[in-house]
Amino acid sequence: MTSSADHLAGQAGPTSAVEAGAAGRPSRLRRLRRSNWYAYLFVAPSLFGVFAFLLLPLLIVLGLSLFHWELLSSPSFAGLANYRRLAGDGETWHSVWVTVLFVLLSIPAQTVLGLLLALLLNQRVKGVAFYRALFVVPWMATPIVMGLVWTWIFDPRDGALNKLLGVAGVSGPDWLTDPSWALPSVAMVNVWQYSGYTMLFFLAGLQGIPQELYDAAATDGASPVQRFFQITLPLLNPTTFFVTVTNLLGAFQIFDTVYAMTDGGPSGSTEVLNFRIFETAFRQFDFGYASTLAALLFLLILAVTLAQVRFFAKRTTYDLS
Amino acid sequence: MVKRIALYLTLAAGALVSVFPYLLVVLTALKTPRQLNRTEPWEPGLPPTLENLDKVLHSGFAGYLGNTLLMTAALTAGQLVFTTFAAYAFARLRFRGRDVLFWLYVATMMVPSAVTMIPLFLIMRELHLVNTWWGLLAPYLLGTPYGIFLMRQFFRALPAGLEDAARIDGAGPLTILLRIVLPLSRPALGTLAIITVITSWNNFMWPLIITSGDDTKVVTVGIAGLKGSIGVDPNQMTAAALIALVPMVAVFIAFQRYIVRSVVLTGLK
Amino acid sequence: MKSPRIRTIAAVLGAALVSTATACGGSGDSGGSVTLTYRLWDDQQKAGYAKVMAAFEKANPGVRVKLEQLPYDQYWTKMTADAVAGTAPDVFWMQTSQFPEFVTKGILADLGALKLDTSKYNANVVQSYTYKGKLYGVPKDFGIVGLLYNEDLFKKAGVTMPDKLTWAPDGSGTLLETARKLTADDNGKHPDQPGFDAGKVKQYGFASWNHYQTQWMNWVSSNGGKLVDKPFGKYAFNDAASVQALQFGVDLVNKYHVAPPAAQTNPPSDKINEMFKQGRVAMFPANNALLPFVAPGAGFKIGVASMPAGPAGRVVNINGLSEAVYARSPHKEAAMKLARFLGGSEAQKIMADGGYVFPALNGLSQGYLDYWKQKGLDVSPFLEESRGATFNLPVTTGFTAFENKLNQTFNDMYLGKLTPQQAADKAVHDGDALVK
Repeated sequence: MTSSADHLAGQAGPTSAVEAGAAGRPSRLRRLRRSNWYAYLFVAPSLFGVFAFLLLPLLIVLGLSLFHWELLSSPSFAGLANYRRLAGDGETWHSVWVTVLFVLLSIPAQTVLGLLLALLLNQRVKGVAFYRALFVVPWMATPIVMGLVWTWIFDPRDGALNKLLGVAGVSGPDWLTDPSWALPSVAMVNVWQYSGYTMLFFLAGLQGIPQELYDAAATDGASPVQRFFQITLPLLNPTTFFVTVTNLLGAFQIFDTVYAMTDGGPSGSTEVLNFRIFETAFRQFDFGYASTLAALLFLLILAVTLAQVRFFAKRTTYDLS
Repeated sequence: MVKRIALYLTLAAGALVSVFPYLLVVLTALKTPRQLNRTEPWEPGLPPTLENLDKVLHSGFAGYLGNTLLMTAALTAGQLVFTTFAAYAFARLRFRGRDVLFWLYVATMMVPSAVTMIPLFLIMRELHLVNTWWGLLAPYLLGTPYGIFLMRQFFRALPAGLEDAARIDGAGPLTILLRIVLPLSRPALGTLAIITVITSWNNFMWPLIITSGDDTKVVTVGIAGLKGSIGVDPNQMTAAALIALVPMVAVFIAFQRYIVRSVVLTGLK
Repeated sequence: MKSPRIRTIAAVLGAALVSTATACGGSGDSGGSVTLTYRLWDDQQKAGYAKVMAAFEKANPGVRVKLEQLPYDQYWTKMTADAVAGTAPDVFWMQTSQFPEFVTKGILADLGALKLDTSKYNANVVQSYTYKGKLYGVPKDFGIVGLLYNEDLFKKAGVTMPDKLTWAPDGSGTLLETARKLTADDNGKHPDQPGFDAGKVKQYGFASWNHYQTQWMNWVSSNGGKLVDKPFGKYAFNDAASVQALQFGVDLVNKYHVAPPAAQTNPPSDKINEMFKQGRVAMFPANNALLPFVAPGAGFKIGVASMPAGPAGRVVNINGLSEAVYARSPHKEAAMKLARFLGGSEAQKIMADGGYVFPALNGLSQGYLDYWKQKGLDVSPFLEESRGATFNLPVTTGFTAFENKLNQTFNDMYLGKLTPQQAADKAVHDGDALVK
């Protein structure tokens, strides 16, 4: 999963500006003159990295999306031809749909499960640290490796899952080769991998809620369910915001698991956008069109993140500094 | 009482689901092909055998493991060094364009890594770095915006008094950073290190694209290759998986508290 | 790597990393010695080639060869990427269906300078790697599709392998008949018996699955269908004869139930190899190069038979491989030397006698037969087939990009989601769009 916490920093920006202003004019200028040269030196290597390996590539992608370029031949300017092709490319829109479906299958499940586990652990439980550790262990599993392991677990005949179901008298489906089961199966692996890590954040959030609030509500005669919806959930908003944004960013970019488990199949049922970009670029070597698809993914992620920032901005007061 | 029992049963069930795939990996990696055919996947094969591990290590995985270790070490070192400098500058030093630059960093965190794969490959091609160590490492060696964000948050929360005192004593910014700030930052550095170790270790897409030779092949790419040959042999696959997973589990057990702390560092506590 | 600023960074990161990086980044030309990179995809043959390269290095002091094995599903992706980046290996395996793409893009070196006596090599392989009258690959070997079968299962079922297997679109012929006898559900019922439960099959008589080289292309060719209209031309396997043949391949699975369902066998799964090895499938069409993978782990006696003959006779896939030299190799002279050596009898004999392949160089096949005879396998049907009617994989450009799409479309056909006509039309359309 790509670690990212942009929205948080987004709110940090203004805070630091205010602080800079408060430093007072004369001393600020003097300090600036005195201290800036080594500050640039400190920032330089990482700045170079950001420019060379993040911003420049982003510009290249946007530029390339205007070119016809199948590798082994030379690029030619195509204007908006790739975007026109995109508009009529049913397979790509299908893969956008698959991506959205994957997100819908995994994010709510993994958020609710994470919260549930956190609520369980937030009671007086013996061995909290032990359970917490076990729940988080899937998070660090190498996705490509676990993808292969799960493929084997999902094997319709020899796999552990269907054998277990068989013991219970249920005959399991062809998880990864049946087009209607393949995507839910991949999503299941994602939920398995990230629910525990999500739980970690919720647990921290829960422990930050003062007990007095609950006590007061209890005196007012609020039921546990009411307390959950009126106190716990609203106060967890910053946490919920953080975990959904980071998990979403990861889910929109799912690749390793798909590569290991289904290769986009069967019948394109797991061909998420990121995988399609990889196929177009590094299997068909159509770099121009692949760049157009990459631009599409970028816009998609941008839109979703901004939508979330707006959604939560109304419900959250969140101070970062 | 019934409620307590239900609670513990649920927790135990959750824990079992979490570790089940790991369990299968361990059990299967230690089975002979014969035992594999005769036992259920969740039963152990007795006596356990090290044959699969031996075979996998000799089929090149020892080298891939070395490469992954080297890559992880280099990227973590790079992340720690460059991130610390940049984050400190953003948190504590004043310079023209600081806020604009920081915003830029924050914005780049939203660029999906998949989007940059194609141009990165082309850049490496222009620099003749395809299929080299430098090509493999360069994009992630200079620190990530996320790391800088994390460390900046931490540095800003440190009390400024010590630094001011040192400055009055005439210490330069480098001295202050190395002598005063860093010793106070060990928990944050530990967290950053752990996160970087895990992401570097698990890195797959970029190594897949940029490398092809055994000199630079990492474990993840090696394991993906098992899929392409004829017949994924569960014994061999799980043995390779064990090799890839065990170091991370060990890191996790040893440094668990740092991972928990990452939650605090993101400012969520 | 030459910029001083990166050097500084390297210093920070410690000497260990730097030494590794420079060692790998260095061209290996220093001190008058040359290191060539040789790339292949078959991890069994890697062991054979290690011996071949040792012999080459002995005969050519100062030239070292580094073996680089990539799994097949990464091989062509990497090869294209490396060709683009200018970092392709000096010498590498080439296959007929990929050859047009690479030769037309100028990636392969003209091997005329080697002055090979092409009459000494298998004619099919030589012709496969000749483009506009010039040879672009040293003939390496040829693989033939034959029928592997589980003799123990035959014995248990009281069935003997017919002298000649036949098939026809209407379901007549000895292949289906034999396959039915070898297919049994949990109650021991065969597919043509009442009460047969297709959902609970214990053992399948035949492996019919989505694998172009060993499966449907053979049905198409032995039914008189055509894969491409001409070399470097367009795809043609959506004509009536081809579609009829595709239908037969699908029918074996979905209508006659003598082969495992596509949901279990569709690529990228390679389940079918495992099923044959576990004794759950009795007959399994395979390229002879698969023997080193299948034979050692099999707990039963493997028999080899010729592929079934169709209405147009027996026409089987022959797939010749060659050793290509990278046109922009920085060590071209040494690479040519290696290519010549690999085409010579010393190298090809090592590979034949090790039971890896039928060498392309004439007169060495006996070593291959002997190796397998010693292991209890009579593999002569493969050789005999190669002397009869054969067909090549489609020779046209764009196959690298097409292969994945083709497999995906035909996956749907084997699942019954597309009719053979629909699948073939779609595949031909997709494929033609990539032909330059």
